[in-house]
Formats: sequence, structure tokens, C-alpha cells
Amino acid sequence: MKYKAYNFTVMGASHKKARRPCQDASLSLNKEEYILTAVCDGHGGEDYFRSDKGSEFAVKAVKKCMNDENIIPMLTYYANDEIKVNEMLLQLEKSIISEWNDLVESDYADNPFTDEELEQVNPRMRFRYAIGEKIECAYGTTMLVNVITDDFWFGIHIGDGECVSVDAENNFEHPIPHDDNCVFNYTTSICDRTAIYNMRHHFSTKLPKALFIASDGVDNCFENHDKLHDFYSTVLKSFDSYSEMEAIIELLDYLPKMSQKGSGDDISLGIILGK
Amino acid sequence: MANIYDDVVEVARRTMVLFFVVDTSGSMEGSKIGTLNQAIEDVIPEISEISQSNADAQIKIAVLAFSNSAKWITPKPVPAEDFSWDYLNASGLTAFGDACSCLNEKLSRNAFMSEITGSFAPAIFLLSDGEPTDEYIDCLDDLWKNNWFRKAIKVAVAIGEDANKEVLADFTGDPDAVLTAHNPEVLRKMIRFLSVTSSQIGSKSSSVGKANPDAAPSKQDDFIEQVQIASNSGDFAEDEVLW
Repeated sequence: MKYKAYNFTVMGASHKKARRPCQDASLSLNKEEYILTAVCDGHGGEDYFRSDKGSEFAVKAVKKCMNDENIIPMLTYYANDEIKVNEMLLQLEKSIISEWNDLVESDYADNPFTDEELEQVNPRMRFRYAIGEKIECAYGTTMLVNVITDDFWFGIHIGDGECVSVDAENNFEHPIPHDDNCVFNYTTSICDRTAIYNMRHHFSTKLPKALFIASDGVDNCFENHDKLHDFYSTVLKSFDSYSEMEAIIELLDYLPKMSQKGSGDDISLGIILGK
Repeated sequence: MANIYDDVVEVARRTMVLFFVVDTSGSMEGSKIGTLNQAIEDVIPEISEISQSNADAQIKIAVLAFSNSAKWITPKPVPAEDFSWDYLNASGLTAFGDACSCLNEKLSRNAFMSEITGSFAPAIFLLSDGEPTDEYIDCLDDLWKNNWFRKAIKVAVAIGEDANKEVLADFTGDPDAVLTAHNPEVLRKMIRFLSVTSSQIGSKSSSVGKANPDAAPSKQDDFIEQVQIASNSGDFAEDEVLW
């Protein structure tokens, strides 16, 4: 493959201070058939007290569905048929949501909510959780996935965070449209019953130089998109200038500082770089 | 070795602005304004602590006082950790309409809400003891057209029985978001509770599925629920009526 994937997750500075778990999870897969990154950001409110598990489950669901579904050969075959491509990506999204819900139900069956967990929840949700309703909300998370092959790439996204592509001329684009439901501190979520309608995707046969996906802990460190792009340019420069190991260490060293100075939130980053 | 990112990357933090909109008309003179000044000064360190330990946003504070006209005490929102409360004096009329107009003007990306792409909706805390003396209805209608205002957590405290609670409910959009304080001790408790709770709720991320009728409650709903719990548990019980 012409690409390589990396993933980084660091605990947010404020999470560390408040002794809260890291609620982000990320994944990179460098397979023969495709390269993948996934970033999931569990919600931070008291009602979402198992969102650290929820983000892990989303990453697991992505991995399983990419293994189970025969999507890469199918997309390769139908790459120029927009309708077929959309149908296949929609099916993949449905599978991921379904798998995530299965993992949540299984976890809840093995570990029902404890009184201690329910104590911190707002009363309306506490009542629902206590009678076994809407338990998936406790695990709520966003999800971003990028997959690239030698012939095409696609991105899938629900909730906040950003997917950014960089072309050979170093032009930055945000190919997955913004979800207008993600305003202020609200985000759509894989836990919503309407999750499938809030999934967005992008598919292209024009191969980029690099792809970035990030939880909102990253983009909320920057005043605007230009400054976010400056950060990504520096990542590219670092991987160009240093050995792979040095570049990884530089980034791992910097991300906690970025959280400290910026959003304070957990930070997850998935990078796919052309070799 | 200096990290390659240190000098190149410009990092900023997401913000949530807590607005204090304070009636400083003549009727507030004496123990009302005195208690209010002391109570807000006392709660600032707590808000600062929330801001520093909060995962999602830095809290900034803006203060708007209104009497004969409205006036911003803070030219721009100030980080809670750098904020100090300047004692307000009370005199003059109750230009509530002008306060709504000033708030409307600054609740904009071109003004107080200019920082960081993902800024949180603000929390707006109105304290008043009287009746508007200006033509406020059109100004309040215009304010309700402002998206920042509509999405904000809004709460009001009526200080004493003379406050027009209907106007305060029109401001918050919900009578349950209007509390009445009849003496200094209760006013102090309310200011502390409402400032801290609105800061905590307002500055946190949460999930909402707009198309989902069963979605988690809005921040304003969350906030009102907390207020009702505190009220029902007797946190604001009043032994004596002084105002």
C-alpha cells in the first residue's frame, strides 16, 4: 500500500485533573487490502457515565464490520457508480451501529448500572436508566472513520470532530459536510435512535496526500480552520523531516501540551500519510 | 530539544461566557446591592475552579449593569481566573429594554462570541428587583431572535416582591427559571447555586439527537431540573421576609 496509518489518543488535561477517565478511543489498521483510522469521542456529561466504554465499543464495531463485510472488493468494483457506493456505505454504517448496540447490550447485561453510577445522573435519565430504558445513552460517543486503498478512499462520520484531506498541492479540505445538529456543546451520537440519519460519508477515487480525523478535543484547540490546518501542516513537516519514530515521539510529546493549553479535553487523532 | 510544534502551532481554548445582568436602579440601594456584590465576589473563586478543572471549556465572565441606561462593566468577557468583581452602586431608573439591546448587540460572533469555532452557548443570569421603566418589549423580542440567546441557559432572580416576575419569565422563557429572594441570606444562596450550576452545566459537552424526541434534555431543561430539586429540598427556604 502507498499509505500508512497512525492513531493517537491522549487523556485531556482537565480529565487528568478531575480524575476522570479518558473517554476517547482510536484505532489504526495497516492491512494488505486497506488502511484505516478510527477516532471515537465518548460524551462528557454525567448522563454518559460509560462513554469511555462506548468509544471503545465503536472502535471494535468498526474493526469487526470492516472484517465481516465484503466492502472493499465491492467498492472497488462499483467505484464509479455513485448510487451503489452510497448504498454500500449506508449498509456499512448500519452494520456499525448495530454491532455497537450489541456490544452495549452485552456489556449492560454483564454489568448492570450500579447505584453509584446512577447517583451522578440527572433525575430524568436516572429514572429511565433504572427501569432499563435508553441504556445505550450512557455509552454515547461520536465516530469518525477513514479508509483508503490504492483505488479510492472514504470517510464516515457521526457527531462533532473533523475530517480533513490534504492534496498533493497542500490544499486542505473538509470533505464530509458539517452536521448542523452539532451546535455549541451539542453533538449527534451513535447512541441516538436516529443515528443512521445523522451518519455522513464521503467517497472519492481522487487519492489524497494525507487524511486526518480528529475528535473535537483537537479542533476546539484552534480558533478557526486555518489554524487547525497550520497544525496539520506541522505534522506533515515533522513526518517529512524526521524519522517515523522521532515524528511519533514529537507528536506524542506535544498532544498533552496542546490539550493543556487548548480544549482541556481528551485528544484523538487518526492520520493516514502517503509513503 | 524544542518540540517542532511549540513555536509553530497557535492553540486556543473553547469558551463559555457567564453573563451577569444586574439591575442597579435606585430601589436596589442598600442591603440588596450590598448582598449581591458580596455574593458574586464570593462565588468567583468557585467558578474559576470549575473553569480550570472543566474538560470542555474555559469560563469567562461578562457583566452588564442597568439603571438609567445599560452599561458593560467588562469591555469584553474576562477569564474567570483573572476576574475580580467591582462593587456596583445603585441609583436611577430600570432601563431593562436598553439592557436587552446591549446584550443582543454583544451576543454575536462579531462581538463577545468571537473566540473559537466551537464556543459553547452562554449562561445568562439576570438579577432585578423592579419594573422596567423603558419601552422594553420590542428590545426583548429582538433579543429572542438572537440564536446565542435562544440557546443560552437563562435564569433570573427577583429580589423582593416588587420585581415584575412576568417580565423576568419573558426574559428566561420559563417561569420555572425565575426564583424569588426575600432576604439577603437566600439571595446569597441563590447567587452561589445558580452561578455554579449554570457554569457546570453550560460548559460541558453533551449529546443531543435533534430528530429524536426521546433525546437527552437540553441544558436549560437540565438546569431548571437542578433548580427545582434545590428548591424542593428547601435549599432556598426563607425564615423571614425582609424585602
